[in-house]
Amino acid sequence: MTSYIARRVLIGVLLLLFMSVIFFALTRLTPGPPFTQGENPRTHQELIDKRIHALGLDRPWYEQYPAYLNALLHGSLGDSYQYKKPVSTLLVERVPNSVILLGTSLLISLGIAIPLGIFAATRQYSKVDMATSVISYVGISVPSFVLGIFLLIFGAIYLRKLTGNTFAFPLFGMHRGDDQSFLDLVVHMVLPVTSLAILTIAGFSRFMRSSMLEVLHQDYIRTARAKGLSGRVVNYKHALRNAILPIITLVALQIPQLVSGAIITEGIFSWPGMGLLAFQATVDRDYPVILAVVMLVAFLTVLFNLLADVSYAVVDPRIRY
Amino acid sequence: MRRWFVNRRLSLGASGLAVAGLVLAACGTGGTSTTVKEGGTMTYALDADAQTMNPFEVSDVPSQRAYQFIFPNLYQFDKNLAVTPDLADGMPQISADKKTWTVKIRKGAKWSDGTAITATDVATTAWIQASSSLDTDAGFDWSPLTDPVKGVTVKDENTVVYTLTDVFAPFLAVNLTGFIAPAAVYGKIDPTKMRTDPSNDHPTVTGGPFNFDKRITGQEIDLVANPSYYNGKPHIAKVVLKVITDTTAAAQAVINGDVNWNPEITAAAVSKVKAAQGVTSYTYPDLGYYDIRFNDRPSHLFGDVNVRRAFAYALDKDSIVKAATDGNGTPLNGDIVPAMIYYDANAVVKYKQDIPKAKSLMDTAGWTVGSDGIREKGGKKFSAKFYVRAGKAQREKAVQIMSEELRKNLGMDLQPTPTDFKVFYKPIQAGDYDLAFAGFGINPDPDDYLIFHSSQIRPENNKSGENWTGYVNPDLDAAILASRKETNLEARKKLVNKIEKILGDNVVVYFMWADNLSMGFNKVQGVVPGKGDALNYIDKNLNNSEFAKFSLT
Repeated sequence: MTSYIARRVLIGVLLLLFMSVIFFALTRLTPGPPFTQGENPRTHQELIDKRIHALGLDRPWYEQYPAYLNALLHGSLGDSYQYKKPVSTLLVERVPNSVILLGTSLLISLGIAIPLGIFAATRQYSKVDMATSVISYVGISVPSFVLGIFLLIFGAIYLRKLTGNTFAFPLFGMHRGDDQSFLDLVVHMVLPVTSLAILTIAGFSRFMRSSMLEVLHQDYIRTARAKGLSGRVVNYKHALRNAILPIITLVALQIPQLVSGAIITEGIFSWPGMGLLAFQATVDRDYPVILAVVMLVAFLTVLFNLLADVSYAVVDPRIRY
Repeated sequence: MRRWFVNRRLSLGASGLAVAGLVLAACGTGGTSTTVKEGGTMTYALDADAQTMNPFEVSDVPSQRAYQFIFPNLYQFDKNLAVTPDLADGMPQISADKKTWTVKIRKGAKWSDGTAITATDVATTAWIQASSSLDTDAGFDWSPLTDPVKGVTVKDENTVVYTLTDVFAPFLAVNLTGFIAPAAVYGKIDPTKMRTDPSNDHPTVTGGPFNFDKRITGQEIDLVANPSYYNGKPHIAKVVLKVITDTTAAAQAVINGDVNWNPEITAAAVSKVKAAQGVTSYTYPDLGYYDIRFNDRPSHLFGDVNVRRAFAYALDKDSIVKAATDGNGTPLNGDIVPAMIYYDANAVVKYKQDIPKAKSLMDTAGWTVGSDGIREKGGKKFSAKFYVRAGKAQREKAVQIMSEELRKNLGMDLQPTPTDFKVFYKPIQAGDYDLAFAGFGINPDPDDYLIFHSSQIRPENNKSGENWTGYVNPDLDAAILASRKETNLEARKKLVNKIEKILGDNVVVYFMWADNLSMGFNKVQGVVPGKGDALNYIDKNLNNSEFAKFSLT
């Protein structure tokens, strides 16, 4: 096990190194510089050229890369071109907001999707199964911007009218004015979390259903039933433990996304997370921010893939590395 | 000094402005007579988080809207967009040769730390802005001065003297309007490190109608009334700038009363906001415009004035603008927009759609219709890319309509080419284009030097020039230079109109429209619009002393 983990860590480091080269090259080769006179023609071209030179952006990307890697290895992500502050500061400000939003959404999604998938699988082709399937497909098919806008209009606008201006969910942000309480945060989270959760519940429940169905048709399940075990014991003790393995991988792969944020949902609900930051950085060609976000997500993806593989061994004693 | 984020065109003589200010102020509508309530919190909508609160570093609109509440302005614009003193004690005294400008600072004005606002603060602000080592994306241009340091001198505690190399009539509107920062704070920051100074997020010393209180990054910026504000303590106790990134939510927020002031209601939401109870909204043309920027160089398709005139005669501008903007644009025939005191709808050249005349002009230019319906000349097709910013729906729609009309009516093959903003200017600035749909912000005081004078043609005559058209006309150059030296308002108006006529006659560019902007207020009183309901002056730091007069109902 130890040698396996060591090998995986080494591969992970090499993979991250490789990805850093690719990502770095892509940012530098994307058409359009981070600074142009077009945005503010009063800025003289000479000043723009001077700044581009000072940042080394006038050199080929492969000449710029060693300096970037050196800084990265020394813990420096550089300064944001647009926000004029260290990228690490921006991440500290934004990452928790996205983690709160997407983490809550993920937990709620799993809490609903797993039982729903099991329920549908153990009642295959029943009316309940058909109903959950239809709802799931609708959930998967609805674009996030449509769902987000719908929830915004219904939950924050029409609900106010329906209740005679007595209640509605907030239109924007994480807090209302000076109220920085947990309860206020929860109220502000309802609509964006619902929007994100609906999309992921649909996907997770379908995945759980098919995984469960696959296991339920295995011989050992039939044997367990033949031995006279109750349906509850067969489903939840024997079948679920195996069926949930793929879900662990899926969840592990979702975790890096908690950090990368949800661009559209954060935009609709004015949630100050990483999604909005990353999107604006891409539009502005804010290289340090773009690279920090993608490398952070890449790092977490590698890390959680490893953790998922290790956790397989914990959940399934048959697996040994 | 003031910055204009898309483009800036400026000017207006000091004495002329003073007269204009007095006359227009006398004709103003005045404030409301309702009871003024003291206290309360006014919530203001920002469509994105401010990137910085350091005025020397501001190059985005949300930051400009944020800092406008907290720093004093030396001069600023009134509701009719005439320059008026703010921190300055009266209009500048100009020497006989018009090269020395003396500005008196009002006595008794204080920073939030209790120290006096003096001439040193005013001079230091200019020195920092003029410093070649200042690390900023903001565009400060103090080139009219004889020297970036010696050109600004502190005569005494309340007097600053500016010395110019040459007569420059727009000096007041361009260089003397805008923020003043405390020398004790910003004068101590190394200009090369100004960009990333830790205080940029939370200014420590301010002197505008409101003082900085706190900031929650990405969410809100809180300001409190400045009790010692030199124009009098604001009626409103607190201002909260809320970041609302979704336009639907931002419009609804002002309807609900979650937001008291939304400075930019999108066209799609205007009718709903206007119909809402308790909301006061104003719609007016922007201080900026769009045009079709031709490449007027003789070797290019639009290098012949007959072709450009044919372009103009082939189109029905009003209907195109109406269709593209859904009625939210004001058609223009010049680069003086309705909000400006120079605006004269009759002073511009108008082209009424006349397709036979347009065809005749193309024939005169030697472009004949080919077998495929596209005009050609010497074996060359009249075919070009029509650049437009990608993701700007109104502009893309206008380009689409025009391309179709021009193909059908005139045999021009213009291919709409939506282009990402980051690369949009590259071919244009290189002179390697035929036509592009471009947007420009403008100073209330017009100055066409940067974008139409032949010395500014890029890349041939000026590496940093903004005259992309390549158009050369000695008469236009002379009129532009004369307008920059003319400090008398009426005389200057005539010169500005002459410039408009030359631009129109020669279709140097094809002017399109000014966006109709809308501001919405809920439970805010004391807002006084200018002519045509215009509220340009209380946006983007054109004027902040008005904020002290606002109160909540």
